[in-house]
Amino acid sequence: MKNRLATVFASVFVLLLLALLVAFNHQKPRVLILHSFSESGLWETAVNTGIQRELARNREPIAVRWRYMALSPHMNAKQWAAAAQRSRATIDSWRPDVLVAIGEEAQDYVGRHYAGRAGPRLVYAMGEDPASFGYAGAPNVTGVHEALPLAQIVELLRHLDRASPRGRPSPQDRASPQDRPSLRIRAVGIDDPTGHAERQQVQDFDWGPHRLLGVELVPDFQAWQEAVRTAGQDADVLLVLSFGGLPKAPGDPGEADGLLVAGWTEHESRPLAIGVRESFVAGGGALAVVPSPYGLGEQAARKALATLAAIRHGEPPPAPEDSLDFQIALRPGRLAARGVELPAIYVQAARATQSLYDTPLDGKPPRTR
Amino acid sequence: MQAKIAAAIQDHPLLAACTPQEHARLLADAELREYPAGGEIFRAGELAEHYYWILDGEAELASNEPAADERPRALGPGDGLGAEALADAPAGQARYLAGARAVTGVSALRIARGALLELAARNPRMKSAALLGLAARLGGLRPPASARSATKAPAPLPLKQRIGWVSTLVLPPLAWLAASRLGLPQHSAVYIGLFTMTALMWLFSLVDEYIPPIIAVVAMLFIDLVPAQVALHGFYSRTFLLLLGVYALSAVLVSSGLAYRAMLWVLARLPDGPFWHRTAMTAFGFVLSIVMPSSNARLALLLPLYREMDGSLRAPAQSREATALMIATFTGATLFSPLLLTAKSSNLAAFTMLPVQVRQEFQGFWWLAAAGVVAAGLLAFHLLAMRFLYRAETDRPLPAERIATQIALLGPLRPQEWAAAAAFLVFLLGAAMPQWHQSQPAWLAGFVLASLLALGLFDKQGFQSRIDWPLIFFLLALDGFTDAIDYLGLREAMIGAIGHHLDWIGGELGWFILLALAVTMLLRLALPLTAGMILATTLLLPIGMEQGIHPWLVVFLTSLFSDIWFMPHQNSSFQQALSAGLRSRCDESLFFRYAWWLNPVRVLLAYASIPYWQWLGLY
Repeated sequence: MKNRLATVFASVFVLLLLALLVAFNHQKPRVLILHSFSESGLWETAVNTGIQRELARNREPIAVRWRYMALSPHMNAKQWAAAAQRSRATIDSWRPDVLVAIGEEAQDYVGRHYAGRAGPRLVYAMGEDPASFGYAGAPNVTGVHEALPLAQIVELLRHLDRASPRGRPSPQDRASPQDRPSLRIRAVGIDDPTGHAERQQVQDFDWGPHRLLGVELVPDFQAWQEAVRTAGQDADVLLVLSFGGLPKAPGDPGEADGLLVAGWTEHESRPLAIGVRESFVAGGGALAVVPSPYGLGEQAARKALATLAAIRHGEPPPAPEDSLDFQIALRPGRLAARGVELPAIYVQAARATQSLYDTPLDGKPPRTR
Repeated sequence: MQAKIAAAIQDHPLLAACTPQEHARLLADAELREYPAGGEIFRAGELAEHYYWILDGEAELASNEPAADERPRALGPGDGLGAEALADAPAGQARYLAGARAVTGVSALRIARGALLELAARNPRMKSAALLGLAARLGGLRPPASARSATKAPAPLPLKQRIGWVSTLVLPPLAWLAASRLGLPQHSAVYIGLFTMTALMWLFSLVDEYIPPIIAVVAMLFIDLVPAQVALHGFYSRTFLLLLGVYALSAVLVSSGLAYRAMLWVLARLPDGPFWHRTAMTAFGFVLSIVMPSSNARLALLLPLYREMDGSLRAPAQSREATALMIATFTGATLFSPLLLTAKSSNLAAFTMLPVQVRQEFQGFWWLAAAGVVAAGLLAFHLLAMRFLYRAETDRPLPAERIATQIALLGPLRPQEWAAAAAFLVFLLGAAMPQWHQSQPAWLAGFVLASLLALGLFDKQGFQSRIDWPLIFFLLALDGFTDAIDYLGLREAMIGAIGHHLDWIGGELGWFILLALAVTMLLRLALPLTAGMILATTLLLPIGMEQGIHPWLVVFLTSLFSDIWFMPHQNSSFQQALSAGLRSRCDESLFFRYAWWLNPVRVLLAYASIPYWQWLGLY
């Protein structure tokens, strides 16, 4: 490039290109995706897969950043507060147009801080009641409430050939599905905000033709064991709610091993135990119908894109909604031991989402929730 | 003091070609030295660790044992001393051939040998000038006037380039805006802008051919237009390793001397007549096409042999005979490009666009088999033309004795040549019969590369200099650039926009050949060969597949038709032949007539192949 004019042209070209690219990047609306825990969690990975799947369909320019609060049960309150502070600092400096907060902790420590403010718009994705984070009536908040797939559980119960405990046929086994008497259902969960939110959903749900006998939230694993044994006295189905973070015993705040809780529950529960989290089957349980983290991610991303479109058009954010997708987790060996047979489509559905645990306690780690 | 040294360095004629950075670095290794009258500057036989340049005063040179009639040679301001320091001797062996003594008080710039050798490595002419000056001075000859090369005023920027730059600055943003206005999604509109930029830079040759797609890919990544997996797809595709392996193999074939030996061997055994001389040159081109994915590289290898043969045959300049030999050489290097997957870099790039099952099918010699009718037709046309159209007026034999002596001089096959031959055969057999290694030619090429590196036949320097990295980056960036078309859904948009306008093709290959010819020729009017072919493939592949045309046929047709050329600027191999003296030896009109006749032959052979392709089940 010896000619001066050519050098001038090339320089103008390079500067103009850089200016256009930088200007383009600056005018792109920004979306920050905030996770409560670390990026290595299986549940977080699955949610991210769903988000990326939806974003890949997007053809409008947006800048997306991921941030992980990386909270851990081993951190103390001060460390949790510091992690929250760092996340808020990131939000305040990058100033996203939309903040997608995923998980209850992200709402509690960060999301609620922005509720009712001018910016950013907040899209939540979590299982607890949005009102408990001050989102009710906040004009800048929308999101996806992770609903337990209770209707799908009822549908599943219709297909159970031999839903009787321990494989012993009950009188209704020989009756047609329509003529079957209702099943008696109990639920057991942990006494914490997640458990309260799940209890609310279970209690609010219309279980007909079956009957919900009660939901017991327990403070520790000892109480959990007692609740499972008690359920054996009168229930046909035991709904196993979330148990992540369950303390070991009254005087021991250490977290009980999730594998132990799931495995013990499956083996000791006389009623058929149905989980609402994949960690139940991963730990040794026979069957779970769980909200799909992929679907949750897709819905949250869709909501974020719709919120961006609303901003462009000067409209309020779209209305919140419940999660739609669910998936099946199965351990065929345990189901067979209970004498329970499911239509093949359930097995294939579990296989399709890599939730078929067809080896005895394979090394597949449970998801974090 | 430092300013004076800096000024002396800048004024020194030997250092005139150095850059300001080199001048600045040299300052650390240069010093001003003062010598009193009668003082010794250095002695003959002493280690030549410094070079001197007299700034002021007079000195004289004298050898250790002067001849009776030898008088010391007087030197003054502007003269250099101790150029022996620039000699390529091992450390501790470069010595002054004569001693130097100050006649009056001398002020001299002294530069350390190490620093000078570093400079000389980058500027070899500097060393030649210094050593020639030394030889002239010691021989008592008047050194030639070392006139500084006059600084030439840079030529004004051609109008074509001015228009090109202005268009490149203005049209891409306009294309972006227009695409947005037409309702295309933002991502697609931005891509259209980048595409326009790339095409304009190619069209007006504003920068080297390989640069525009790299700019486009970097820009796409900068603004997250497409994910890195799409933009950089080529860099982890099999093409990368295939290109590396093929380049390494061709480099080793040349550097080991095997290619030259094989050419001499063939010449010594062929019948000694004009037709066979030409056939030999064409055949060399074919063999090289198997492992050299560049007609320029093949021609570069064939041209020295052409010069040797042309010099030996002594055909009159501009005669039909002399022209025919150049045509045979040129055709050998270029004719087989579309006929073999590895003969043209754009074939390899277009190959990655094919569906996976088609890639598996056509990765070996099946490409050549499917191109059989075109290959046979082109070869027959060429050989008949060489036999009957360019008859020699007198028989001019090759110097058989010289060729035999050349072969004898090369001696028996050296281990490097054996290894190169083995690598070539392994690759050839592996590409022809993938069933014996149960892998893919790209991975076999990778194995060949790894083996050549492990055996030391292809060293680090060769890896850096003998692989055409700009071309590889060009092809791989182009791969990402064209992959983005699919990712952004522009292919579907294009098909949608074309709608029923191409219904006249009706799945008929005959009509599609016509479309491929028109599109490829139109693009090749403006774009260089590789870019033109890739772009034509990108446009035609979805149309062809929509019309039920086999994807390999689309790629082959664009490859075949992209070799059609009418104007000199369309063919870089022709430019290469020109700089090798085509005009001084050949009748240019005869040469062009031949090249132009090949164009309709290509089209006719494409049509003639239709029954054969039907028989193969490709149509």
